[in-house]
Amino acid sequence: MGRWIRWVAQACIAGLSGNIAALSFAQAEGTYGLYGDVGLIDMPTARMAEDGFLTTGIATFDSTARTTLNFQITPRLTGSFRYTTVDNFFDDGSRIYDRSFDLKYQILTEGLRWPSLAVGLRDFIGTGLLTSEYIVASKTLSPKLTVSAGMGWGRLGSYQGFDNPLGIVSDSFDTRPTRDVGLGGEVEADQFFRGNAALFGGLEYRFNDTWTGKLEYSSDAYTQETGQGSFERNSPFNAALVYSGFRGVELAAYALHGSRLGVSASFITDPKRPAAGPGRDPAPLPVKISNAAQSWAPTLANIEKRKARLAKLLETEGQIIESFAISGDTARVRVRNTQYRATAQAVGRTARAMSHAMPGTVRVFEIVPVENGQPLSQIVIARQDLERLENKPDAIALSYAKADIQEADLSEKLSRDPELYPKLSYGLAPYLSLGLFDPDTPIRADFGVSAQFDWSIAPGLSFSGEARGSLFGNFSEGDVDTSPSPLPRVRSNADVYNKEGNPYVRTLALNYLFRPVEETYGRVTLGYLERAYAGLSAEVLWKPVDSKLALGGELNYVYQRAFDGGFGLQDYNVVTGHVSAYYPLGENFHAQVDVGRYLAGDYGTTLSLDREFANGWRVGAFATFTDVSAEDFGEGSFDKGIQITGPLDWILGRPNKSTVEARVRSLSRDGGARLRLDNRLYDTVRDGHAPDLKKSWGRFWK
Amino acid sequence: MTLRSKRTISLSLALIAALILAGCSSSNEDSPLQIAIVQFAKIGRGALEKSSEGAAGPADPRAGLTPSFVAKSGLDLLYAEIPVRQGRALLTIAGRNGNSVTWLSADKISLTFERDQLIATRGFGEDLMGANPGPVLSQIGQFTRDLVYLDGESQPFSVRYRCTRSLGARDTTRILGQSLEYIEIIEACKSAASEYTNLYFRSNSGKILQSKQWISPEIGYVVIENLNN
Repeated sequence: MGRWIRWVAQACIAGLSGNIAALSFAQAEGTYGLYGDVGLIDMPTARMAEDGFLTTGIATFDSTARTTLNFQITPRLTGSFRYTTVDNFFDDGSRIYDRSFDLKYQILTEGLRWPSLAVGLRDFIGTGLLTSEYIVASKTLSPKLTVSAGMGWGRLGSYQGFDNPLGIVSDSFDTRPTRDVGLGGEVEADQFFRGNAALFGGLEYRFNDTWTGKLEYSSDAYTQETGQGSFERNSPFNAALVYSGFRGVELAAYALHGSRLGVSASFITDPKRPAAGPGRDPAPLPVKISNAAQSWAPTLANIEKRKARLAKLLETEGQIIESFAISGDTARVRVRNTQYRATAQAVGRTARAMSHAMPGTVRVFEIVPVENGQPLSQIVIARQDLERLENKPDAIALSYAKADIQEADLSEKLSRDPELYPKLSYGLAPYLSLGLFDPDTPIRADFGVSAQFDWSIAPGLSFSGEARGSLFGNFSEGDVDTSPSPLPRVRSNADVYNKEGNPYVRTLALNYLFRPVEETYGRVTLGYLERAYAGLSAEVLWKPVDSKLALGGELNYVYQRAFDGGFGLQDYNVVTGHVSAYYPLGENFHAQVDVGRYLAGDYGTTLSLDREFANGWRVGAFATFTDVSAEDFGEGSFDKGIQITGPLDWILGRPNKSTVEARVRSLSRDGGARLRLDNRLYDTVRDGHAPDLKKSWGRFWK
Repeated sequence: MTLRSKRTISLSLALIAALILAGCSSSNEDSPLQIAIVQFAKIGRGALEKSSEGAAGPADPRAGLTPSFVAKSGLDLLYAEIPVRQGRALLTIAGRNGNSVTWLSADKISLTFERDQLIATRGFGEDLMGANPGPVLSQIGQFTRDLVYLDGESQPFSVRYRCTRSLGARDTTRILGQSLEYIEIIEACKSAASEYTNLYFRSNSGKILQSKQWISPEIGYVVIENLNN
């Protein structure tokens, strides 16, 4: 089972970027190597992938397999997360599973007379199987030929190494301290650029658009592998032949060290280039020109008629009217958007439908996007602007400038729609869960059936739940973690839940979302919050409609749930909570800081940094530091990981509000663990606010 | 009878990707597998509809139409074809705004014209979001035209074309079996990175009988025929 799941999942990880890549053509400047980033074979170059490229590479040679997720964080900075296995690595013949992080920074971009120059760290966190540092230069000699040369330390200084030239700066560079592998997870800065150095280099020759040849002189002696007898290194030379004829996929074959053959496949996704461009959304109704002179009496019956007309037009757009009013020359509608990822598009569609359904006497449209029954903002559009700007070359910028994005009016008296509240909805659906890169079972999959219901009692108030039954998979095959731990087992007992609880109640809770005062949002959830915890969770978020900054606070009192997936509780209970700050850094990045008490009662902070694309893609990393010592935390030393969000409309090329999220965390340990809540406030609230609306306003007219 | 027919294939690919991606949602979190399956069902239906139309592409929606039938129907009808996609459809007027007229097909593709020149499309993907048309078609000479698109992150960008409009030959064409005389108007437009040539067949009375107009690099041209003659 293990092996096929590994392959299925490797294909699956590849699919994370790969199969999508086939749709969105992407071609890197250089080609990818065995380390899964742009480079030679084992040796690096100073080349970068194109900004934003997200690439999954699978490489295998001899008894080694490397799966790498590479992301071009900025035009000059690239990062990789890698999962390596080497068979027969240990004396007892067992396999090593190793995870590693790399960073490479381009100091200098290539010019006419000078090369590009980059400095890099490989495997700089953790146990250090692949650890090395390098500085490398690359120069294009002709459109077809690029040459690279560099100096490496650590693993890259292991063949024909010489005294470290940095020894001139300080004697401390002369010897490389042995890595205190310990529990891994810590940045091993005291090793950087220490010990013997060695030179490496190579050529990359582009025969044509599809075939590239590479030749390198490797400074990696494969000391450990040859020592174990699992690798034979007869020569420092490696050669590769790369085929890039398929869209978004690169295939390569390697001849390594005069003794071994290898292959690799790299699947490249360019988040900036969706499969269907900006999307094949069905055409909207064109704006209807109004006749202001038309007489219309605002009687109750007439208003109801207009509302019904609008509701019908919005039905095909997936927009549901929560409330509607006409007063004087203004029509106000609260709409729940079920169809469009970008709120700006939902607003644009609603505005056009209003131009058809509203009487000529109405000159102002007030559109209030509603999430979970709560108004997020109020977008005021003059009917005349809509009419005047449609299809004009500068319509997007002008319509944003003329739209007035205000705080939603909370004093508004609402007529509750008997068709919307109370309302019971339920469904049955398959689910597939994957757990990636666990140290013992690198790939775990679980497939089953999920039953869900949601009873919307009133705007903001609902009772909902989900039960799951696993049909097959290997989630329950893992060994239960019995290693001694000074911390309460708040997450490391996940395997017990998998083993003992099937089927299980995932959630069953009463949710209340509300607007306490202007600029703030509130949430209270009571019940079974997630698989492992039940209790009370309360959250408040401050986010003015035009503010980039948001501040939040969350307080939870929870009991650990019984392992059997039922309604029972265990003795362990804890008060956990955080204060959080959210802030977009420039156009492309978003930072979040959470400070507070975690599930094991430890105190600390979580930092998250994401690259955000205006089309909904997000690629980021997070790390949690608490007062739990690395020893007490266990393997990995602290909680960290990477998170990727892909919007489904990007993949499907048609309107869809869902996103797919993947989190690869180093390890699920007990330190720095948070509750996994489904409905935290920030992400839904920000969609309806000015900064996010502005970013996606192009879709107002789509 | 669709401008979207070719889409089926690429959507199926997208679906596979979606399924795989859905499957990769991380452990213990909801996966949108359900959505993907619903999409699959929809795409499956679409594919069946297409195959029933035969291997030679979708049937001609003009089949059976005659000039007198169109006249009696009282409908404004436009026939449009996207050669790159092998898509074809009939469109009717869905709205007028100032000098512009928007035509809409049954499968929700729209084309908007101002002074007979295409200024916007919706429903194709790489749509023309807006444009300033050139001067009226009776006027020959040089002018600039800005075409506005959205990039993959939905950010607008504009491409400026310098166009030269000239008169071509006189000839006759056939629409719904009816012979019609026209004079050809040729618009050669160039930007820094690309170029296109629009053609208009103009009747003696000044009506545009047929035209071939540029949308975008991905979609190429749309070929249009006015069926009300």
